[in-house]
Amino acid sequence: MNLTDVTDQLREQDPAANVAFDATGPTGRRLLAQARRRQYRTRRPTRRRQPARRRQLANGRLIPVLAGLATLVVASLLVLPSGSGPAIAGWTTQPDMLDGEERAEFDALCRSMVDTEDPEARSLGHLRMITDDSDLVIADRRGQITIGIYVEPDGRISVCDVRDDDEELPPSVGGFTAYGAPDGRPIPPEQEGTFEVVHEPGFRAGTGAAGLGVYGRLDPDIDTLRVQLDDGRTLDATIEGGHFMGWWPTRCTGHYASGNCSPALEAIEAIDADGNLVDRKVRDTNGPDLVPDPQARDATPPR
Amino acid sequence: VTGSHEAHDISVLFEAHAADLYRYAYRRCASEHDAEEVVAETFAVAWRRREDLPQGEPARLWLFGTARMVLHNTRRRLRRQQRLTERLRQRWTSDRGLNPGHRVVAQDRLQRALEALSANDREVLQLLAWEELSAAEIAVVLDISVPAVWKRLERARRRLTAQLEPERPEHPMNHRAAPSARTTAEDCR
Repeated sequence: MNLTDVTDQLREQDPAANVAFDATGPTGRRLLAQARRRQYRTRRPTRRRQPARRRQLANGRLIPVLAGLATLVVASLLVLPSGSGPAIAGWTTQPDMLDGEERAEFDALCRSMVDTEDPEARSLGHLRMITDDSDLVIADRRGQITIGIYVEPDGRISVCDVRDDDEELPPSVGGFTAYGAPDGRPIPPEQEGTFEVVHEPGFRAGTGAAGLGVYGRLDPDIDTLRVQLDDGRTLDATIEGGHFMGWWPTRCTGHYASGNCSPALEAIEAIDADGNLVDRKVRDTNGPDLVPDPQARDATPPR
Repeated sequence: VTGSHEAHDISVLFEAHAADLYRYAYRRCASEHDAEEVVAETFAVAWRRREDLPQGEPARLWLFGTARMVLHNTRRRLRRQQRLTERLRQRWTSDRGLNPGHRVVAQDRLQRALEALSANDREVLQLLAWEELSAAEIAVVLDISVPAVWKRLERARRRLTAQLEPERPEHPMNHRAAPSARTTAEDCR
């Protein structure tokens, strides 16, 4: 048997002889989108605690906030049921700090989804509004999920989520969408000694399972923002360059935008470097906004 | 050919070569899922290194070489030799609509003979027969010299032919371990 005979025999028994693959079809587009996302993959982020900041609150004056119940659809978040309530794998009450490289990775991943050909992303009906003018102003990582807020010069907000699939697979983009700031107005300039809720994203993650979040601006001198949930739990928001962001797992009856989610945001406390409560805003019983808590105002130490 | 001055449009490369790479992986994995994984990972590498990709036909060979490395990593990670062997055997004997008979026996023997080759010998034969690459192209994919390709081809042919010779009566001295009993587990090969 010569070489030609051998190769002829092999050709006759080619396992892929009848295998069709359309690079421009749904499978091809999906694989191309996967490849595009994976190009930014390098390593699994390591967890770091956000270092405590020690700054003096310059001014205790508070302003009312507008908590627009804007909505956000982010798919494919890993939600695990638990006995005491909803849980997203690895979620923590303290955020993990992203270093510069991780932040750049996150940013690149989110931007790579713009104009994506990923049919899965498109099928989710997401608006994708991250543009060249958008700035990633803050990223909040808790366990397997990182949520990033992008702001455009006109105040429009885009939200991107990145999920770590498992120990082997690096982050993947679940999709993002965007809604404008309340009334479409620009994010107001930061004011001394205040914080302001700008956006409350919701995260659909299957039937009844979801995540809720809160994003806003604050005086850079505020040391800690503690988010209180109506089930008694609290979480510390990520604070970065005058922005804050935090999110938590929840379960909803109907759409998360309906407000029938538990746990939900109950209050946000601003704490100074000495651990003193300097501001507290609570959910307005007559509307979706957060309003100053009179009792907290009384409790605010004189400055 | 050195790296391009202008970065490749990976989407164009994908459209042109993804099907070939998919079949390349499928032939060695017998799994659509694994083949898709190899394609996605190969083009992720291409995207990361698009500045270094050669232009023209060498880009195709570069992709084959990258897919080969991706397969190599997959082998190390997955190690599901028994399941793969069974999948392959089933595919070779039933999925293609073959009826039991002499032809099936012959195909099974060829498959077993192929599996008995070393990975290097098997790969060079498969690249020639299935990917229809020339010796020079195989040399690029495997990163070896053309004479080395010919040498491997000749050795692979000789060993494969020996494997396909009519089986002699069973004798303890003639016993040869079945391919599935190999100690080196592989998933895709």
